[in-house]
Amino acid sequence: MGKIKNVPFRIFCYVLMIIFLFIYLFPLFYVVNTSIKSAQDYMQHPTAITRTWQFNNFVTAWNKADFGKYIWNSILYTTVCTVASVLMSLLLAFPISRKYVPFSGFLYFLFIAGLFLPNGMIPTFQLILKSGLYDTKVGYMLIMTGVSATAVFFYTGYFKSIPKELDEAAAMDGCGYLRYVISCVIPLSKPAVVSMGMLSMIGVWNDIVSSTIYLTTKTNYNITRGLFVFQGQYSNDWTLTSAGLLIVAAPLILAYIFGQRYIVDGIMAGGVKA
Amino acid sequence: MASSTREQKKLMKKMTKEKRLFPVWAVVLCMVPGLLHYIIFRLYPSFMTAIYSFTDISGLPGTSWKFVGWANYKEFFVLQNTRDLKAALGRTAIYSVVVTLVQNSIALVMAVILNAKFLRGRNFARSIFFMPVILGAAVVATMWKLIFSTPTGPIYLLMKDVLKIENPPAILSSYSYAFPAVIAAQIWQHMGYSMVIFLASLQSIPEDLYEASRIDGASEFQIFWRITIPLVWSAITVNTLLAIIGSLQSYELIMTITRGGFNTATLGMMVFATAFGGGGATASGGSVAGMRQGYAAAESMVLFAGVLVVTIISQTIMNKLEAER
Amino acid sequence: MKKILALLLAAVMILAAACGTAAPASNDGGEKPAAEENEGGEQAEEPAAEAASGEVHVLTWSNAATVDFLNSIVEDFHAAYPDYTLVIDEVPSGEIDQVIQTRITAGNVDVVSFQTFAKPQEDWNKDQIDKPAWQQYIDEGFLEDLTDKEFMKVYNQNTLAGNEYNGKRYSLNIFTVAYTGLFYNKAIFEELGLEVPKTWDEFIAVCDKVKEDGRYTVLSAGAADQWPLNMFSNAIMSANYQDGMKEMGQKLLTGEIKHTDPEIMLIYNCMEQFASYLEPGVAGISYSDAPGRFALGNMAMYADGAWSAADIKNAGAEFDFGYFPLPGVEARADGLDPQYGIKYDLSFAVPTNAPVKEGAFAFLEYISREDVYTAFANAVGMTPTQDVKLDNEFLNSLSDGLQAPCINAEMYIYAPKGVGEYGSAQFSFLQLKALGGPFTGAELAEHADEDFEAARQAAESLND
Repeated sequence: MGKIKNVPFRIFCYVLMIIFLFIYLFPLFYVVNTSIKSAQDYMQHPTAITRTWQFNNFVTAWNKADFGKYIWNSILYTTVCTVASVLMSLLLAFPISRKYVPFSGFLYFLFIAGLFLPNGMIPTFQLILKSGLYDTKVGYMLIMTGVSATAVFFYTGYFKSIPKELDEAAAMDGCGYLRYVISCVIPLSKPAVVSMGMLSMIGVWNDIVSSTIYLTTKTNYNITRGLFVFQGQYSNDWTLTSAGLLIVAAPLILAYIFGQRYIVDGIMAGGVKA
Repeated sequence: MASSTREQKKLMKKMTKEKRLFPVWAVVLCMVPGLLHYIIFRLYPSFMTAIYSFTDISGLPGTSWKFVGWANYKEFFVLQNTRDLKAALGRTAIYSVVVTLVQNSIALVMAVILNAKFLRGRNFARSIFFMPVILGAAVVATMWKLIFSTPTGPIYLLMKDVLKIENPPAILSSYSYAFPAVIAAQIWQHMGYSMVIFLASLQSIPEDLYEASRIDGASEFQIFWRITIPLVWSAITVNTLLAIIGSLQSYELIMTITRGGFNTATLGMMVFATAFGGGGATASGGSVAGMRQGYAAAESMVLFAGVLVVTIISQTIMNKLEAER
Repeated sequence: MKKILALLLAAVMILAAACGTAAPASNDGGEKPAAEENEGGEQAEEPAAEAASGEVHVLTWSNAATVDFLNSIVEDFHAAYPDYTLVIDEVPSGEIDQVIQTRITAGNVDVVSFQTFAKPQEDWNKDQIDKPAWQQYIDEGFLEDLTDKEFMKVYNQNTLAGNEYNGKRYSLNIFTVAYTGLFYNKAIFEELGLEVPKTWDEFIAVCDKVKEDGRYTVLSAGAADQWPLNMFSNAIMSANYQDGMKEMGQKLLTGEIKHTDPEIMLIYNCMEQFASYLEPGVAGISYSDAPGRFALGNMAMYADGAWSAADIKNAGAEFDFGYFPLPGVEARADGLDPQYGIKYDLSFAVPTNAPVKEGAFAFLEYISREDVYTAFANAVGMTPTQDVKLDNEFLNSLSDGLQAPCINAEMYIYAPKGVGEYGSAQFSFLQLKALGGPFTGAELAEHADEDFEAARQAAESLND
C-alpha cells in the first residue's frame, strides 16, 4: 500500500485532537485536583496543583451531604426502574416484532409517535398529585420508569435476528410464553438488553428534573439531588463539593469503563431512529 | 384466478392463525403493564397538556379551576409579547442555532480526525469526548460552576492574572456572559454524542475512495468537502435534527447552572419555571410563584408547535440540499 | 422476576384506579366550575388527617443564628410538649419560595417561614401584576388564620397589623430587622481615621479613603444571589424618599413617573457609585460565603442586613464591628441622623394541611413564651416584636438609627408581569456594567421605561 504521507495534515490532526483533549480533560482533572486539596491549600492556591492528598474530603462530603441516606434511594430507584423499563419494553416489542398480536403495526406506530407528542410534564404532575403519590418513592419510580420509543424500536430490530423457528420449538415443547421470553429471548438478545438497561440506569441515576419536581422530603432524595442541594448549601466549599461530585459520578464512570460499547450502541440506536 | 388467490389467502390466514404459537391472551397479558404505563404516563399527559392549556389550573392540590378559553395563549402572545416573549424566543432560537451549528461542526471535524488510522490515541480520545454524555446535568453543571467560580476559579483567574483584564466579570452571574457560558457547557456535554454518530457513518466509507483521490492529488480539504461530506450527509441530517429538537426542549443544564436567571431562560426553562417555580427562573430573572400550570401548559403547547414547525422546515431544507448535490 | 412482575401489576392497578378518579374530575370542571370548587374544597381538607403527636417540621431559610437557636430548643420543647418533636428543615434563602410551594403541595410541613406579605394584587393593579405566592396561599385557603390565637396577644399589635391581609392575621411576625445598613470593621476605621458617615458624600469619602490606602477591601456583598445586593437599591430609595416611597412605587407602575425622571435617576446614580466600590469579582460571591469573608478582617465595609451580625460572629470575627445606616444624599427633614429601613424578617405561618397542626400551634405558643422569646431575640440579634428587654449589645447599638425608621422600599417597588428582562430587574445591580452587566444606570433606566410602557399597553389591549 503506497500511502501518501501528508505531514502538515498529520500535525494538524494531532494539534486539534490535543486541543480538544485538553478542553475535555481539564475540567475533569481540575475537579479531581480540587477534591483532594485541603481547605487551607485551596484558599491559598485555588488553581495550583494540589500539595496535599486530602482523601478525607470524600468522607466529609459523604457525611455532610447525607449521601449515605440518598445512595440507597438511588440504588432502589435505578434498579427498580431499570428492571421494570427493560421488562415492559421487551414484552411490548417482542410480540410487535413477531406480529403475535392484532394491530401490531398500529402499536408500533403508537410508540414511535410518542417521540413527537408534546411534553406531558404538567398533567403528569397533576396525576401524581391527585393520586396521592406526590413525594413518595412509588410515585417517583412510576415517573422514572418508561417504555421509550427508542427501546421499542431497538428491540424490534434486534428480535428480527432471533430465528422464528426457536419460538416454534419452544411452543412445541409446551414452554409458556413468559418463561420463553425470560429464559430464551432475553439471553439471546443480551447486548440489546444490556444497552437499553444501561441507558435507563444512567437516565435514572442522573435525573434531576423529576426529582426536583416530585421529591420534597430528604428521605426520598436521590443522590443527584443530594449533590445539587449540597452544592447550593456549601457553595463556598469547593473541595468538598468536588469530592461530592466525584462520588456521584463514580458509578457512572465505572459503568462507562466496563460497558462503553453497549452504551454507545444504545445511544446510537436513539440517533438512527430519527 | 382471482378466486383462487382469495382461497390461498384464506388458507394462509388459517395457517398463520394455527401458527400463532403462543396463546394470544398470554401475550397480551404480558403487554398490559407496559401498555398501561405508556398510556397513563405518556399518551394521556400529552393529550391533557392541550386541554390544560385552556384552563387556569394551579400547582396547588385541591384548588378550584375553570376553563378560560384562549386566555393563556392570548396572554402569552399579547401580554408576554411586550418583551419577555421576544427575549425568551430569541434566546431559544440562539440557543438551538448555535448549539446545532457549533456542536455538529466540531463533532464532524473531530470524527474525521479520529477516523484517521495513523492517529495514535484516537480510541482514548473518542472515549473521553463521549464521556460527558453519560455524566448527567447535575454533575456537569457542578463541574462548570467550579470552573467558572469567582473569584477563585481558573477562568476568572485566567482573565484577571494572565489576560490582565481589569475587573473581569463573574461569568455565571453576569447578564451578558452567563448565557454564552451555558451554551458552551451544553455543547461540551453533547458534542461526543454527535461525534459518535458521525464516526459510525464515516466508518462505512471505503478506504479505497480516499486512497484513490489522494493519489489523484486532492488536498485533505478537498477530500473532506467532496467525498466525506456527501457520504455522511444522512448522518448530518440526523445530527442536525437531533440537535435542534434536543436544544429546543432541553433546559436541564440551564436549570442546574443558573436556574434560568441572568437572561438564560429559554422557552423550555420558562415552562418549567411557570409550572413548578424557581427563584429567578423566569425569563426576566424575577421570581415567579410557579403555580400557573394552565399557563405553563399553554407555553408547552407553543413549544411543541415550534419544535414541530422547525423540524419540518429543517427536514425539508436538508432534503433539498441533498437533492441538489 | 415473578415477584417484580406482580409488584408492577399491582402498581399499575393502583394507578389505573387513581387515573379513574382524576380524569372525570377534570371533565366536570369545565361545565360546573362551582361544583368543582366544592370538590376542590373537600380535597384540600382530605389530607388533614391530623396526628395528635409526632414530628413538627419547621421550614426556614439558612440563617445560622436562627437555625442554631431553633435546634437548641428541640429538647426543651419536647419536655414542655412531650407529644411533639421539633424538626428544623433548613434551605438556602434563594430557594425558600420554591421549597415552601413544594412542601405545602406535599402537605408535609407544619410551620413555614415568610418575610413580609408585600405587594398584594389589588383592584388598582390587578391587570399589571400577578398574585404573589403568599396571596395565592391565603386565597386558596392554605394558611391558617391565626388572628384569634392566644399566643398572638403578647406581640406588638401594630406590628402584627402591618402584615394583615383582608383584616386577618395569617402569620406571626417574630422579628423585624434593620436591613439598610453596612457592617464596618471598627479597627480599620480607627486605623484610617474614619468616622461613620452621616451623608452620602461622607460615605463616598470614606470609600475613597479606604481605596486610596489600598490595603483593605472597600466594600463587598453576597452578590451572586442577587437579592443581597438589590436590597441596597431599596436601601438607597429608603434613605432618599422616606414617606414618598409608597406613592412613588405606585406611580412608577401606573406610568405617572418614569425611571428616567431625575428623581429616580438619583437612585441609579447612587447605585453606580456604590457599585464602583464593590470588590472585584463580587458578582461571583455567594451569600452563604459573604459574612465569613467580612469576618476575615481585611474588609472595611460589608453590605448586608443586621441579621448577619450573629453569622459574622460565628464565622470567627476577632475584631469589633458596628453597623450604620446607609445615608441619603440630603439630610433628613426631621434633623435626625440617618435612620434604618426595617422590614419584617421572620414570620411563621401554619399551612392548613399541616400533618401535625396542633404541634405547630404548640411550637408557636412555646416560642412566644417570654423567656424563650427573649433568648431567641438575643441569639439572632433582630428587633423583637414583643416588649422584652434584651442584652444583645449589637442590637442595642442600633437604637439611634431606629428612632424613626425609614419606610421599606421593597414593599412598594412593583414589577409588572410580562414586563421583559429589564422591567423586573429595574433596580438590579448586576445589570450594571461595573459588575459585569450590559448597561450603565441611564441605559438600564431607559430599558426599564420601555418595558413598563410595553407592559401597560399590553395590559390595556388585553382588556379591550
